[in-house]
Amino acid sequence: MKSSVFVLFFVLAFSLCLAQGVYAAEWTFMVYLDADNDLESYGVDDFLEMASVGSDANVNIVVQFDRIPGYSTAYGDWKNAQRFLVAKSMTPTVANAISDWGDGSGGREVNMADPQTLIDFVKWGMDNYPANNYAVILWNHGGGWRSPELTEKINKAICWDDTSGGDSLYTNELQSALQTIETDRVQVTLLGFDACLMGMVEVAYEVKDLATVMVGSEETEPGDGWPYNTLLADLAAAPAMTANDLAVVIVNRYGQSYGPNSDTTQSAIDLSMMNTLSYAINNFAVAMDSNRSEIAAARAASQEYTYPQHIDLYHFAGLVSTGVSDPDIQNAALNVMTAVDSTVFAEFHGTPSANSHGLAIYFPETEISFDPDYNGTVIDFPAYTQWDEFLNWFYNFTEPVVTQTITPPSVTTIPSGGLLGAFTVTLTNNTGSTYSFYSRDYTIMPDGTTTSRRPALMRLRGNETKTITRQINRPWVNPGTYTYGIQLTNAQGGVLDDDSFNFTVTSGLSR
Amino acid sequence: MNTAPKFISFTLLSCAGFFLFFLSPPAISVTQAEDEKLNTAEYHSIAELIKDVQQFKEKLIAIRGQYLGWRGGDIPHPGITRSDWIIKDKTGAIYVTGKTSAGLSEKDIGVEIIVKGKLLLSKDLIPYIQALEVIKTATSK
Repeated sequence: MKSSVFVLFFVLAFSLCLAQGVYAAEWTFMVYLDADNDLESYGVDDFLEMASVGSDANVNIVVQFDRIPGYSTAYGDWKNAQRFLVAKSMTPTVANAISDWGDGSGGREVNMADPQTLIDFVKWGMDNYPANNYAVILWNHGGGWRSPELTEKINKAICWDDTSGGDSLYTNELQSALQTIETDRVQVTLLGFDACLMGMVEVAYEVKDLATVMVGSEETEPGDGWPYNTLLADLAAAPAMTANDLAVVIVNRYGQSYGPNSDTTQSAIDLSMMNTLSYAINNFAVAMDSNRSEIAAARAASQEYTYPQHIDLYHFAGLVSTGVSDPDIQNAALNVMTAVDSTVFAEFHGTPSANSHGLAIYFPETEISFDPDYNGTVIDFPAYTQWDEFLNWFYNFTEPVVTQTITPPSVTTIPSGGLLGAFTVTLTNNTGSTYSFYSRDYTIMPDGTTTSRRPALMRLRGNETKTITRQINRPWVNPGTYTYGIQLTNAQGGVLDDDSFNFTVTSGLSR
Repeated sequence: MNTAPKFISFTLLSCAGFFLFFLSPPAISVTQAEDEKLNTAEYHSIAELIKDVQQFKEKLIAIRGQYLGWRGGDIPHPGITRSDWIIKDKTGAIYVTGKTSAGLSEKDIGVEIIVKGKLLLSKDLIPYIQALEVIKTATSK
């Protein structure tokens, strides 16, 4: 009787575990090791790093390793793709590889840039090595927005496969692959990019709903990539760690591996925060509709990476917040910085990239470097935010022929019947030629009505800047808040610039 | 306003532009501000550099060749970062690393470029160029 109860209890407990997805292993760490390119020897080195730890009851280390003719000849110089359950001290030989991928045969030539190849590997890993958490690491080159062929959409890509015509896995293909994996099995817990230049807002946005955590680098990665020996040793020592914990381990071990003087970066991104961050970026993009020269100065001073079209988002926002006087832009910039802080929960950078904060964004300094395929038909981020519209505004902005800056009176609150103090108007001709234009003063009264004076014809020599001190010699009687402004127009009536200041007339006191 | 300094600057720039246009190698389209130091870089073939690495190590040099991206050249793996790329001339090929402003992408594979930079050795003793300037020449497609 007792034994029957025990068996029943065991069966029930086992069934409950299966139903809740609780497996013997805590983690299955899957590395999609695409060394079918010039990085082959680094792939061999990284496999050996993984094998220095090896799988155990709590952590499965599973690798799909694709190699290439030429380059490294190590371990039998095999040239196709092999799958491994990496055991301690294992070497990457065909004899050690898994001989049956579930379809009766083992290693074969595959196109690692084909999303179906990634889907097949991850689903196979989940089926054969079930665990509570799944890490999927894409090991390869990472690039900017580029295309092997001019006819193709240019898109940010990873996983170049040289023996498959130099094909690469585009960001939107990665998204669809992860979606299929989630639909057919479960969501990936941690998505890692052991590749260059993938720590970008655009990449994180593309995968934001398809994993819990993303790990990637804003800057290029050294050929040696991630230090699998140390980070997997940490995982093996504490296999119950969460995805966030593992991401922190990866970032910290990477930083320790290369040191503070290296030109390296690595960061961990909480993908659940990407909607909040993109909302803040969208507002920032919308707010930046003036102060173009100050924004350009901030852009020029921003932390760039090996692809100079990529800049650190936080650093740029910080420079805008201090370099622009418009409070709307300042607040929007500060909100972006706060959102980045909430999204990036672990970050490392060496001194050459001192102003890195974990997430880069696409912002070529000039339109010549801007890729028109950075748009919402290719990836999601520009489709769902105004960032590309901001870039379009930034590149197509033309400085007005004449600009002005008004410095308000030192006292902007006066008693009823009082006179407003002097203010200055600085006018600049931004062309090299003499230019004539009209200047019209206007006042917006407390009741909202507007009064204006007759336009005055003015002229500035080429590149001339002139500062005029103005005084309005009439008393202001009615209490309330006024706006005093000056509008500059060309001969056709087109507005060149418009600047104004507010002042308040108080009641109870009179001359 | 005193416009004399601006006039002098304009004159100097015009003269500099004249000399750049007529005295630079004719195939080069100058797309970046010319750095005085970079202009002193001596042109060498890749074979020359690799043959006598010790002589050229840490020196400022210039190479004219084809941009190959990550493929070709029949040389060992990249020495520094995974994004290092290859330049090839008639005598050989070498990896290039470092920030560039030429905006090279896979669209540019096969185009003629000039790389100015320092010859260095990776930890695996692979010679590579630390690029300081990359220029697409006028003959580039």
